[in-house]
Amino acid sequence: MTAQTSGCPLHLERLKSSSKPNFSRCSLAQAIVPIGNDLFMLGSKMNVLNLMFCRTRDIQVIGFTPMDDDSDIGQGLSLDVRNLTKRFGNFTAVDNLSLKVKKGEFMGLLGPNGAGKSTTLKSITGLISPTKGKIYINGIDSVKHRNAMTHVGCVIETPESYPNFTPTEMMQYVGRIHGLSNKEIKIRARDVLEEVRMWSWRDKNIGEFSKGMRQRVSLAVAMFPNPNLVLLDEPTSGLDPRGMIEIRRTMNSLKKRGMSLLISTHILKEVSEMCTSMTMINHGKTIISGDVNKLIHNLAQNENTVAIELRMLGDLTNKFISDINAMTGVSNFEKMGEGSVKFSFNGTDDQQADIVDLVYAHKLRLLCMNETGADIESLYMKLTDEARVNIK
Amino acid sequence: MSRKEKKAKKVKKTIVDSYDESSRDLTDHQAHRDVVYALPSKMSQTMQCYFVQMKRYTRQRVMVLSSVLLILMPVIYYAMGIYILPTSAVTNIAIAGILSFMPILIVLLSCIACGSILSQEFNERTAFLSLPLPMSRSSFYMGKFLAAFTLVGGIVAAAYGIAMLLTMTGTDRTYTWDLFRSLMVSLCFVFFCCSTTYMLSTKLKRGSTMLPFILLFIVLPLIAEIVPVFFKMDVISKILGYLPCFGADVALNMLGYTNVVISFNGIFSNFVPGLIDFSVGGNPIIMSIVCILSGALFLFLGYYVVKRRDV
Repeated sequence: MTAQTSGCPLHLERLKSSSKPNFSRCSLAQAIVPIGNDLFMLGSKMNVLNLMFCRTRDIQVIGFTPMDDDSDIGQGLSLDVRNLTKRFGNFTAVDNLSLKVKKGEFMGLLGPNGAGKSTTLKSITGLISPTKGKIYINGIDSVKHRNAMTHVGCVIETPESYPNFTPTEMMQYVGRIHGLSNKEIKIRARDVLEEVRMWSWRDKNIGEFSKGMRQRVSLAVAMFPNPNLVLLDEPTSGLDPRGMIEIRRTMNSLKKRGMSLLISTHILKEVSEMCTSMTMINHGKTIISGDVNKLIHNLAQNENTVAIELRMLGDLTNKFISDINAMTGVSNFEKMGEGSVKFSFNGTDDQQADIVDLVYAHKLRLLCMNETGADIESLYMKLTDEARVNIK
Repeated sequence: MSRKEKKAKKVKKTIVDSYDESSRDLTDHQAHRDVVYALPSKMSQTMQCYFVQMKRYTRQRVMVLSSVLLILMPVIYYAMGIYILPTSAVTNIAIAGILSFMPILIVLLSCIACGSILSQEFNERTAFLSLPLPMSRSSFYMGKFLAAFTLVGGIVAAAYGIAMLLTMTGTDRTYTWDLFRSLMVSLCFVFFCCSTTYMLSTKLKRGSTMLPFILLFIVLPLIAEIVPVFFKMDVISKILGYLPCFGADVALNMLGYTNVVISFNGIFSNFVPGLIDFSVGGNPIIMSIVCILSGALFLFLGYYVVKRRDV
């Protein structure tokens, strides 16, 4: 704060999407300068107060934030967490964490148990108040302005809907809190309940639902205000495979609509399949952050190790096993079952071809040779191991 | 409007109406996802929380049963009155006799309605759904409290109404303003009981119906009755007589019914007569103010706890 002592950007939301913000009823027309999408700058704090008094039906002031020196608030970012710290007594759950989610980006938040993932998400949603740091949602400081949550949907730690309510009633509750009319609530309730495949259960008590169905209702609640940022904290935990697949299917439909997503999960496959970027945290600190594919590619380049799985017909003799173990580049040899072995390989293509020759030399018939490079699991293991060593 | 325009309008309507699971590829416009809306006022959000909590009450068996019981209590008392209650031809006294169960039942119902109302939200994880919504915690907190207060207050008012109906025969039917004032004092007492219990529910992890009941119905009155014995000072006795836990006694005393059997004061003085010289406050206005102020204080304390609470 600030070179511009008199300037502070305002975030304005239009009530009528077709119309441009109309400041004509306000005497400050000259003082308002557009600086981005839905962001305007006002000359002084007095101007802010005046605008508050003379706001028209066309605009609604969501909040205003003093401009920082390095201000890029709201510029293409759905979520901007800056130096977030949360302490519980002497224990620091989140330590100076920063992360940015661009508009339309799907980010995975990874980390072992107790890393601070849930605390981060809870801080963003206002369930806990941060000790230090700033959180901007669509450019609005969410710690100061609850209105910042208008375009956010979240499923934090398996939330439960009221068991005596039906999904339709839950939608009515959420819709009215958001200020939607009854007609709009009906249309949107149908949209989101169909999206999560709960429309045919709309008039049944939520208390009678299975865990997966309740989770889907929570997801419908999160999607109800048509958010541009969705925060999910382990949305598939405790669900059966079918439930997981259905939740993932819903998340993929969010992707098509251009929503931003921050998902905290232990299921690495979810991150590698759905997310474009990831942030890994441990002990409340960021270990690594970036594009998922790039990070895995970098790891593969650094490690140059692949896992090879062989399936063969014939008896695997001790001689064959000792021969293959003795080959250059082979490590972590493991017999998987009848005629199947797995090992790590770090060598040239010629050396890899020698392995195939060895198989034939022992009069075995090769059914399949499966080679997997570095994946998100190996990246996760490597990074969490490194973090452990650093802490020791 | 031309025929073409009418037809176009009709087609547009059909798209919305025929919206089913097979047509999941609707555009944002067709699915109304692009409708821009404004958040309602804080008061409106508070009222939404209020209605949701009221709806929850209507679906909780314990609440429904307790409410029905409390409303029926005057009828039961009236039926049993000839055996256990002093009959009176004076309407107000007869009404007070019928309502003499109020001191214990107001506390009990307040404890049932508010005792675990907030802790339940956190234990059942429903707060994880409500609190991230774009509304302040004060709306959430006040909406729930208002629902509890309205419920208990409504039942008390209904009990007064039923008592009035029951005294239409057999009394002189002289309904004075004291009856209305007594109702007001009772409602102030309801406010105090609800806010105290509500505040406790913010502090207790699992909520409790028993603890606030013991506190409000036994511990506080017991302290008020025992302390003057040791100090033997009239001033202290008078001050303690205005403790808000005696609100219901004052409300019934106003109607000329001094022997409120079912209150701590009544039970205590009936079982150990002459042991202590204690009487509850006589001024209903002071009692109302004390109830409202202490209730507001507890309500604020509870809000302070909820606002700072990390979920």
